[in-house]
Amino acid sequence: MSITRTATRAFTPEDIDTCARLTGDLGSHHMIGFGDRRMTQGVLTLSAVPLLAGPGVHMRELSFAFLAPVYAGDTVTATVRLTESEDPLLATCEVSVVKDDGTTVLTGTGIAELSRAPAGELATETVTGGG
Amino acid sequence: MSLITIKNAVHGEIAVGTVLVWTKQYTDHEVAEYCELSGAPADPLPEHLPYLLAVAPLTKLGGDLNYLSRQMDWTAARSIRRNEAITAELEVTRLEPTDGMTKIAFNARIRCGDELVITGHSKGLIVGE
Repeated sequence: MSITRTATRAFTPEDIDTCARLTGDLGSHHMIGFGDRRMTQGVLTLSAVPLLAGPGVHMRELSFAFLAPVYAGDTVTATVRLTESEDPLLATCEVSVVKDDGTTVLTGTGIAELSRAPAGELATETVTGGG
Repeated sequence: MSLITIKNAVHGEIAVGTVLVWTKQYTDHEVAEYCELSGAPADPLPEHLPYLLAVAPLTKLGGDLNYLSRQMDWTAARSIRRNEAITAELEVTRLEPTDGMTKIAFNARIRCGDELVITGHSKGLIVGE
């Protein structure tokens, strides 16, 4: 059984500034940009992925491919699909982040160790939207 | 065979084998700010660092190099408590200048004290230097 969660997020220059201050990631492609287009930090882009940024989820393994840049002003839709494993507190996950123009900017896979509440939700297939 | 090196404003001369190190201990205020940034609840504060904040010190080191990641893989032995000090290490395993950019790869490690908590790999490009 599995659950799929989806969230939509628009990134602002202020988000990039806050992420830079909190993480120390001051790469010039984030702070100055390419031709005035400031690229989001990978951590900021990943923060759009449901469950990944939240409490109660420990990612034992995680693998990401960054396929295309995300810039301030872009809106992305992030989807995570969690699939139950033999251990009721573990789930495999598949992640994708897609821009409004249809460009896939990030894909990933992992193994998540869930708190009891999300693990219980695996009993039914659900699709949840949110921001 | 010549040793390929690059010069970096923060870390100086970098070659294969160079290990970049940075230690960070988040304040409760920073954790709350990150929760707000990511849309996660901040009241009460989580007992453990949000996963992305735990690996963020590695991205700080990457940012020092103007590093643009193409691939990241991490394995975490456990969650990191909110007030633990984190030491991030990036060990350069590949350095290959190309047209206007440099291909680079790392072994990545997060330690809490002497304990190795997160290990991984990353590869991508250095841009803008």
